[in-house]
Amino acid sequence: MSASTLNTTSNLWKQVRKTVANWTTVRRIMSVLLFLLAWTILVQFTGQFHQIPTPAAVFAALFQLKLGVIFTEIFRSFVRVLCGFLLGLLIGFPIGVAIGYSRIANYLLFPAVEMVRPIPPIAWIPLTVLFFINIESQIVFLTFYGAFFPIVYNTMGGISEVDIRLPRAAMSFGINRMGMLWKIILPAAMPQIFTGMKVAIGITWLMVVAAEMIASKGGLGYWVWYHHTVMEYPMVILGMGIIGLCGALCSVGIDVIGSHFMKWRNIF
Amino acid sequence: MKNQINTIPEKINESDFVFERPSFLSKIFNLKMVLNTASVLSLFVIWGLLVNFGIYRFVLIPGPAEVLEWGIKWMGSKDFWMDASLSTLRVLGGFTFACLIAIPTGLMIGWNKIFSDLTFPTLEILRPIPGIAYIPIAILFFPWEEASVAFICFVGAFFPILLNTITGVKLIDRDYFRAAQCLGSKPRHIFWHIVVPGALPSISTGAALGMGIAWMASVAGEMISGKWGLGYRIWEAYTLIRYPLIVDGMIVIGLLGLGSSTLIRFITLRLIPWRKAITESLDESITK
Amino acid sequence: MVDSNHKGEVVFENVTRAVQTKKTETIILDHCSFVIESGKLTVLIGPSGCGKTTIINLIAGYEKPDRGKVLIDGKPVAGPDRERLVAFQETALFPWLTCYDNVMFGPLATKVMTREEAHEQAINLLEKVGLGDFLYKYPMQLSGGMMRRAELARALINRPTVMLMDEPFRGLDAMTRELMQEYYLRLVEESHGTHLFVTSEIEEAIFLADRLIIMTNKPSRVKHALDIDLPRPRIASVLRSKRYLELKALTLEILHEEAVKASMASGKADIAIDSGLRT
Repeated sequence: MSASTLNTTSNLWKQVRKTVANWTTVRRIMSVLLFLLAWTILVQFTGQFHQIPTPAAVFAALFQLKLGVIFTEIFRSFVRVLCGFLLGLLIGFPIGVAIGYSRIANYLLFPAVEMVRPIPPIAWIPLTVLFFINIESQIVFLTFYGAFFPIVYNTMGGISEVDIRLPRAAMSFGINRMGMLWKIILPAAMPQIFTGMKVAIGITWLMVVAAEMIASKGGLGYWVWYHHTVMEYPMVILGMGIIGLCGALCSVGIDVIGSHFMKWRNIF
Repeated sequence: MKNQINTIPEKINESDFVFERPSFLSKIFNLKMVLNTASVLSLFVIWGLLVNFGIYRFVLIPGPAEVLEWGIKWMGSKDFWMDASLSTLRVLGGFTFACLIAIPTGLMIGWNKIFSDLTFPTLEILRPIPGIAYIPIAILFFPWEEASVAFICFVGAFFPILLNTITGVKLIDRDYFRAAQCLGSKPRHIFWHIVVPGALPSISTGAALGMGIAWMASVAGEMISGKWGLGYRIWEAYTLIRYPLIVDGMIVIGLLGLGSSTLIRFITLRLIPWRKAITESLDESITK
Repeated sequence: MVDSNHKGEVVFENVTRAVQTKKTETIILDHCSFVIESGKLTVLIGPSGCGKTTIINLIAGYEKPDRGKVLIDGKPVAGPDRERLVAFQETALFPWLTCYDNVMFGPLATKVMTREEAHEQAINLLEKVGLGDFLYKYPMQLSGGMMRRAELARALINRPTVMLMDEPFRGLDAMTRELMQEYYLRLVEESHGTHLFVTSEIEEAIFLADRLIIMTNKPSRVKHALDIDLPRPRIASVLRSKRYLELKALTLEILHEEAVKASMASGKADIAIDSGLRT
């Protein structure tokens, strides 16, 4: 009743102006163009970086890509990342919940986890290579290890930062311990758990690239390294771009799954 | 891990309301201490047992005793100090550059819409590319190996610091800007007195995060392209079948990484005294 | 210094302001006209969500009217200015500055007075609001009431021509609130500036006001304006006088009419808009 439209004469052009053809969009496109321009100038007109390919060369390389080959490599890396990530989730999530929710588990597990954590996952490469015979399992272990700690720490942190009024309110309804975990604690900790997963998938991609560069057994990391050794530099940059794209895709995927689990956050 | 809700008491016991002075023995032998010690010890015991009984391929993995022995020997050599100091220098170099560029850029992106539109899309395109993937380019870019490893550390540390700085600025309460405006602040004054201090806590988090990733990147960089440094040393130990040295190297890397992150937290905590004031007043209210 | 006795008259001329939500535009102020007289304490009261904060934002210059004019001493509002100070709903003391530094912020930003002058006035003001012992505490270390007092001091040191108070004592307990009102009245009666005080509490409104403006429900207009002729300086005993009770009854009657209308319309009221106003 009180709500009425002030401006009923908005035509199509106004809408377009508002959403697409405004200064913000122009500036954003400018941003990318300026970057490409700076890159070209740096490479073309200074002696120092002459080995680095120009954007044009990279664009040209795009048409020389053998689609079959590149998609196999993408597929291989994806499978490794997903295996490691899911393994990390499967093992890391329960441990994170245990440390966050049970005092005994916290006392028992937390110091051990805290001692191993500072060692960066990359430093595990030599031991992993030593321990696992199969190269696939080496790479999957490394990706798993990269995903493990962010998931554990964010699950734990998410649970410990739940507003204490929520469990207290639930307690006065006579909820039991399991109900408390599933109905109150986990939903409330969900945003941070998904933040952890996003961090984890980023590190998983980093790990897969490093492991593949060293292991020389296919995958995008290997593909980039191979083109580096045969000095096909435009391909190297293209490969980096593809890796970035895959990483971004995974991160968006987790956002989509996350927003499905946390519908209550998307109302506004 | 203060203020943590570990367990929700099932019911309130009478004993919860009885305050007794804890005796010396109960201070040492409380549940927490016992379990924490058990946790750390069991890590080493399980490791030792697995290696000792050679379960699956644990025969190949060095045991705790061997690692200790080699570690002491290695710490005495000149190589160790060379490796450790070189790696630290590379990390610090890359990290410092990352801070110098990422913090001002992040502050500007968070504060100024036009600057944000002009730079953020490009950065957003570059961000998902993991630091490790820059290794081939870094080798091309810098024929000097020191610089190429430092560059990889720089790329690794850059984005966590940048993104945290941006969110730091965006999270500043809008009322603070309005209050400053109506108190007569000009834009420059607002930048130095509202934007910078307001974003500091978040920048501190980003810096600690970036430091961790810089260490990780340095290890990868040295493994692939180095001739000195801890990352190179553990890879060399693998190829020369000096396996205990691998574990020693991992431990040293872990300790140095932990040390530098702690240092950053310590330094930044000095820069944000009002945060300390919050925790202090919380403690006060709890003890009162 | 500006002679604040004859300045700071705020005039609303047929002001219309609408807020855009995703699909529709909702009118918050609808051809709203009133005058806030200079050198007086005007209190604005109305049902919650009736656009009181919007009025504050319009005068402060954070928002612009869609139609009509907001005039200050005959000139339209151009943007935020240090002549018009706002005390915010939840305090906006800078958490990274101590109580004293917060009060010094304005003088140091504008450099209208020397550091020594400002220092003297800051100490003076903080003592007047009872914070003499808390100069070097951070806002987070103060209680809710102390923060509001510090905010008052921070605003008043700049001697604004128009002081805008956006439900500044909201969320305080009844005792602290009474205390704050007395502190505030003492400062106002000394400063002689123009004050606009927004509230949804009738007792507070009548106790403080020289002039009371009662708003209608959304879209808001002025429903009624009352001159409160209680004697000044006001003290707590005013609350028991006959005149006070009469005025309260009258206000209640007018407001009740509005509240009924509001609850009738609430079936269609948009929650999103309500909260959009506040954020």
